[in-house]
Amino acid sequence: MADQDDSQPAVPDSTDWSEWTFAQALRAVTGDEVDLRPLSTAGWFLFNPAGVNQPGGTDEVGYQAFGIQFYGAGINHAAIDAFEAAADRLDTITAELIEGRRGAADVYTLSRLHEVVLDLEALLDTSGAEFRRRAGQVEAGGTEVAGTAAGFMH
Amino acid sequence: MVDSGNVIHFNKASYEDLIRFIDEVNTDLETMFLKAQPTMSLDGSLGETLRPGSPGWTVVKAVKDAAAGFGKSVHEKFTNLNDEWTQYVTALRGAIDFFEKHDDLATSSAQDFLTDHPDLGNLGGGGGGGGRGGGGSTGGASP
Repeated sequence: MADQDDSQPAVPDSTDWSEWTFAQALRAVTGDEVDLRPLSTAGWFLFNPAGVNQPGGTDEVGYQAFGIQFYGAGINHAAIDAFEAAADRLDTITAELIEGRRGAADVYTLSRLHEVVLDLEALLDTSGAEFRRRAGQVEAGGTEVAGTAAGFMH
Repeated sequence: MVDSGNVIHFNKASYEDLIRFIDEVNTDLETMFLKAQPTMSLDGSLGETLRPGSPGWTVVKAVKDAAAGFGKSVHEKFTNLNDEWTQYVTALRGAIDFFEKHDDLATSSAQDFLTDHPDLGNLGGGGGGGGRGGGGSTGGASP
């Protein structure tokens, strides 16, 4: 269900979060298109001007007394259904977001990258230090691997 | 670089320890970073593997692009390093016989060593190689 408000950019090119709507943030993080605002402002009751002060009255809801319907309205079931469906989707989205995986967002890939980079740093750090130590020994002549020929290996 | 001469005796155990160390680092490099990993590999696929959010957000696109560049760079450099170290370790192993034959290194010329083991003279780009073909001290007439 695409509820994107065409009057706003898909994702603001700004980190001033006060400019962001919840729907835009959701779109930016997960790629989901859910915006309750236009759904909530849709007319849920459709008043029937022809149903005012009418004897009887067949509208879904209204006020009737003494056999006269003083006003009547229909219920916009489609709008209510759309709002409920969007709210249900948000319920699912929120639960998955709390778990860290939803749509285009997977926070575990970020934490995994952090671990991989730490592993890389550790390997370079430890092996680099050991290489330097051994190279230093060759330079200083303090190792039994050193010698005239070893200089070329170094 | 010519050794000052204060260490001249070859110790095979120390030499093999050096080979073992380089081999271990190389193996770690292969198993940890060059072979495909089940969850995340440091190569050009990193940009796709990393999922910080919707690519429609410029911040996310920048992160994914940078990750792809980083992964590709690491993979290329480590692949080259892996190839060079593999050659280096092979050459080092092959050179053991030289050291055993010339136990007193002070009496061995570097040119003799490079003649026997040219692979050890030009590894590592600008890191002290370039020995091949530079000597020319094979006797011959002097003016």
